[in-house]
Amino acid sequence: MPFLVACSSAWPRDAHLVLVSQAGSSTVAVIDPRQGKTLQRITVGGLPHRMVLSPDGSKVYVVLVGSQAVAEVDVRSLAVTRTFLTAPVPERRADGSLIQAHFDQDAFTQTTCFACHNPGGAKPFIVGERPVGIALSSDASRLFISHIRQGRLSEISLKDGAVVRSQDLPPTGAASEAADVARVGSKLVVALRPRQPSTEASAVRWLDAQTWQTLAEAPTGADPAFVLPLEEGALVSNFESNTLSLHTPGAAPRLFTVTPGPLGMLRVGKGQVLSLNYYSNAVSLLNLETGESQSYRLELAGQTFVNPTHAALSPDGRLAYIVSSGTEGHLLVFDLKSSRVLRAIPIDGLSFDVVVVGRK
Amino acid sequence: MKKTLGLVALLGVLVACGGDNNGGGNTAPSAPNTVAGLVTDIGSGVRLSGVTVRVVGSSRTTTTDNRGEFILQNLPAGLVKLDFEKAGYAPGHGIAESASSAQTVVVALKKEGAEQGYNPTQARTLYQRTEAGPYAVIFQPNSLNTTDTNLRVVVTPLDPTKEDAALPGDLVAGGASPTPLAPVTFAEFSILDSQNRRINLKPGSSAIVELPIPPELRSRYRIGDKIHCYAYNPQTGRWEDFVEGTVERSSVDGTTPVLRASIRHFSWYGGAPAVQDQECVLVEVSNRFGKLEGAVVTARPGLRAVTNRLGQANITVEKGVPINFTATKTYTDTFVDANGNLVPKPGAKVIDIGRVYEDDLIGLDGKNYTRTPGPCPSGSSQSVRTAATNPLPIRVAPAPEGFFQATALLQPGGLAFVQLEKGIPNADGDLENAKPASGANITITDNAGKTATLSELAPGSGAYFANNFTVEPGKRYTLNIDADGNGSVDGSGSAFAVGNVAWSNLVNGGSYSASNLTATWSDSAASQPGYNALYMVSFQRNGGSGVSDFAVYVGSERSFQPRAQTSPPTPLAPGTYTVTLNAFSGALNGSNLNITDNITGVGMQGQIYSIQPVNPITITLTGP
Repeated sequence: MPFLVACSSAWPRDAHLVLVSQAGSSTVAVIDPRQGKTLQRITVGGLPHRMVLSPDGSKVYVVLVGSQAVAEVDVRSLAVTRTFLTAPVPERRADGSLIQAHFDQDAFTQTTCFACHNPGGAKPFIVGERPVGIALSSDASRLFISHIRQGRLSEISLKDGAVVRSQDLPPTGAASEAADVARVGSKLVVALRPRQPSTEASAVRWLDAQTWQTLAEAPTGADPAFVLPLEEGALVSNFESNTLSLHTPGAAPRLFTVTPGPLGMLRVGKGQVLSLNYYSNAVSLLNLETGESQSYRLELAGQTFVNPTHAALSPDGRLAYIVSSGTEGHLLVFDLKSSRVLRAIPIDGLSFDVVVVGRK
Repeated sequence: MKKTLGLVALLGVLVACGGDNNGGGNTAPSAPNTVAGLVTDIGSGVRLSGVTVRVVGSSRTTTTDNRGEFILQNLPAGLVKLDFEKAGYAPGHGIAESASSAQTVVVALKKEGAEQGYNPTQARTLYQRTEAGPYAVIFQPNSLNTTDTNLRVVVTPLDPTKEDAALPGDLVAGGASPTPLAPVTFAEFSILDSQNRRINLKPGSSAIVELPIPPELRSRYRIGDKIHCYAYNPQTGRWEDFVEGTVERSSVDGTTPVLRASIRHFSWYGGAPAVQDQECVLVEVSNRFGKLEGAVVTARPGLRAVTNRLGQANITVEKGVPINFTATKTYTDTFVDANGNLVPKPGAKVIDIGRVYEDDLIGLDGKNYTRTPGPCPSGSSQSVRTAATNPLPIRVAPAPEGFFQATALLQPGGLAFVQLEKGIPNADGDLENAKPASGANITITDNAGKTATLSELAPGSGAYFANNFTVEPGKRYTLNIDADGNGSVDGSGSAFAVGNVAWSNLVNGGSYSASNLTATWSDSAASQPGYNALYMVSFQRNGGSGVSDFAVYVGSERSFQPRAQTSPPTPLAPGTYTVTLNAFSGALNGSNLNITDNITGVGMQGQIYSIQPVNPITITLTGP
């Protein structure tokens, strides 16, 4: 299927590739946005979702929600170089029974559950503590990982891939699932949500990045999906509603209105944020100073592109690469100046996150 | 058609009993940019006339004729999205490609659930109960986008283990690398105001839905499991708004395992995880004249493919589960003459349909069909393979004009028996003027690949059974029925034969304490994935007729504490009791134990089930 093209505006001069996590196929797609096609699919593990790029641009860390691990992708070779478990391989099930296969197959030496629990392999396919949120330490030597199942926060040393610290975060009310983690300077921000679906409040908790001592906490909507770190605060998308909430320690949250189902967010200029609004098939450009937002439906040539999840910025800051994550997946090339979709590049359905990397 | 379980008389019957047409060709025209279709009732298989068919995004509409068929010509190229509407049925939807030759949409509509009143200023849980449990929607106050306080809510449940043909669109995570989605549980939610307009949620609002896990799938999905959920968008013809739901206990009855999730748009909604274990199967479609190019093959759970000039296509399916294959081909300006030939006739059309229901592709007919692990390579559906393959055959032919009903009994350790009748269905789907149907081709297959063809017991009897084929307790059996004998499968269904059932702690002549007794029994098939037998146990004191002389159990557990139905329940009266135990496997309506249809198709319906009575025993219950 050819990709849709609205016009051919000038492309960023910096050669780059776009990496998309494709949750349905256990892969990361390597896309050349100029050619408008997937060059390569890297098998990384079960349910790849969030991704972060190392500050030097050499590595991409992919959270494997279904394999209780993080995959490290080398940008130069476009290959998985390492995987890290985010929590120990369990000896027993929730009902206390022994998982004999873990002993028989020495599962405790593995660095990802995907080695055994893969298509055609051990059942079930999706296992573990369901890591979801990811953030890098200030010196980029460690990863912070939040887990949904037990509300666990883990710290992984990138030197040897070992979990160096792990802690179940105490719940606040019904809010017990650590849906995301971000780092703001020397602090960590964790979004704790109730088990979904729920109408009860979630909590945005500030921790000292060194000691993990709680510094502050404020309530937010029932289903916080993503935490965007800012200079002093953190912007939280309230997926169940049409709001974003700006949190700073010790201050009341400030609410912004977008269109329904905000999920991912992207900084696109000073004081400007692009909100990806999953349920309204739209994006909103939000001015954090004025609180004003303008929303745009994701359409091209009469076709609506549904369920945007995350976005990444082109090197020159003019384009946003947006994942349209319906069962028909597309990577949308969105021009920030004209606020319209320029291209729609077919990718797998149920894709999720996106990063831009330099081209070797 | 329903049958009361206690009145089944087929066992008595069992005790007593122990062509290709060479005309025409495959060169008939198939007009481009044309979509033809056939609409049926999923419950009865009856063709539905007077169904309004709308092309989404245009003003084009048409209506099904008295054969339940329609045709739309001169459509713009590309994906065609169709809406189907008929009073008394939940909204139906279908998709097809407007391409170089005519394509076919086979749509089954589901009768809608009961209407329930709702004032949207109130928090409320509304539900529709089936044998699987309560299908519920939980409203927050003032969450609906209306000021009307006299709303009607219709919840239409759909169990994909029996009714997957009524699911709209393709259950596929598509895009660059399509992946099948495996249906688990679904329902359609319609909210109507006083003006009969459809109402939805306010922007930014949501509701919670609970959809029972079908009994056949409960061994695969446990409490706490996450299942992907989607809403069908008629505007795009796709399943969208993916969120994760969780398997929990129903908030309505506290026991049924349900998929609980957040819903943002009322439409068809349900759970369908992406299929992880896939395989690529080679199929071959033929009709009465030979191999068929351009036939559209749909697999569920699986993808869609079009046959090449050898009539073959590679199609991706979920590995290791039952698969429904449906192949279609439409000829335009053509009709079938009395000899089965395709003859030119302007304005006429012929819709060929073929179905194959495969319990497991392994070992059928003692052979392995050509297949490879993983999804089919991109574009392989159009490649022409060499002859050294063993494709899965799908034979297509016009759907039967009459209406057939099958009743199939699996007797553990005994025969497989099918009674086939032909008649005219009434409004309830029951046959009138039913007569035995001869000339059918019926095959039965177990889940190890053993297959047999059933023969008619006597000409004109409509009673079929397989020689030298013994039903083994605890095995799953699939029937494929070509009711009119024209070569294409018209209906199919499957059920487990009941396992070997026996008392664990009761013996004939035994004596037990009435206050302490818990009766237990075993079933050799209990650990089979998907097996879900219903047990019926009764304790009747000999010569007694009081409330303390009788206890009965109907359910899926394998233990029962007999108690008189006093308030509170009390131990049975001391005395001598006759104790019965029966096991049933098949589809039941949970509220009144009617056997319901689990053989579905076009122009036919029916039931396949198994019953195992355990010899009654006599015991003595003693007092304290």
